[in-house]
Amino acid sequence: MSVLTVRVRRKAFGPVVVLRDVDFTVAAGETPAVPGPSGVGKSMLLRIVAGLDPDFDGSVARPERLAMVFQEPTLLPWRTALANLTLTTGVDTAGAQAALAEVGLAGKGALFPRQLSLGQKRRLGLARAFAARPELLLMDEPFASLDAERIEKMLALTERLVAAMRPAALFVTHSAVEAARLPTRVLRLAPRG
Amino acid sequence: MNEVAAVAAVAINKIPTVTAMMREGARAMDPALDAMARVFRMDRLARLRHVVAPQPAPHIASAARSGISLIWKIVRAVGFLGRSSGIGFKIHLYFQFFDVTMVLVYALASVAVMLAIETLLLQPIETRARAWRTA
Repeated sequence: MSVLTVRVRRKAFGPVVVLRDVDFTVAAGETPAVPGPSGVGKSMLLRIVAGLDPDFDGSVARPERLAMVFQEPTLLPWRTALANLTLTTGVDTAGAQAALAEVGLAGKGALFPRQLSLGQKRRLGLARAFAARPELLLMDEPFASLDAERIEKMLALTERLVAAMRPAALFVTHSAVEAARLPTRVLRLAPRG
Repeated sequence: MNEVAAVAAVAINKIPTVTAMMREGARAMDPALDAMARVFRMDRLARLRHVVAPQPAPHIASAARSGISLIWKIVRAVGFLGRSSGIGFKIHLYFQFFDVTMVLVYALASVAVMLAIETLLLQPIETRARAWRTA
């Protein structure tokens, strides 16, 4: 049964059409990737799916519990790592500490995001997404600006968490390597002609 | 000069600068954080308290500090020029009597109160609000 149903007839900014005729469904446990070069409309599609951009022609049926891993970690810089989990996802302190341990950040709960490295911030973003226990997980180039070794670690971590929780997940990436690794299938956005 | 005129003088002097500083704070808001809060379905109160309010907080603190310092000065000037009570009036009064000691007593007492408010009230609030920047 589909967790996510997307039917975008048209999304445009004035005369510029960004997306047209994008139809797909995602079932629980599925992880389709949306690869493609910059500017093809991947992130816009994700914003529409997340409900952040309601100004389009079409419909999206999404579950209530969703989470997103953003291109940038997008953490609350004035709240500790632990509070970043509890405040945004509603998980209790014990749950947040477990989520931190899950991504290798045990004992870092009292640190502010600026005290963490980029890799740690990205893991915190991942922990936040999974702590929300989402039915639908959206990932918008979550490994951008990481080196190859860190990407490999993050991919392995994400694989493990997705396998354990089995949310429906939509994985946007411009990397062919990442698109070949995590997803169960690939959705291609054809470039505008 | 009556009470209304005194309050109006302070407000007219301070409202434009506070408004400008607050506007800069609002412009500095990060739309990505708002998007994050919406995706994670944070409720309105939590969003206001933990996502929205902390962003212009440094601007609010700066506006409060500069505002209070300017208001002190204007209130003294208002008392000096057109009131029959208050520290400004007293300084003006003793100045006319060439009583430098009493002028200094009122002036220094006024400065001490200002510094106490700055040290005991404003600075701790600001330090707490900026703790994440200095951690």
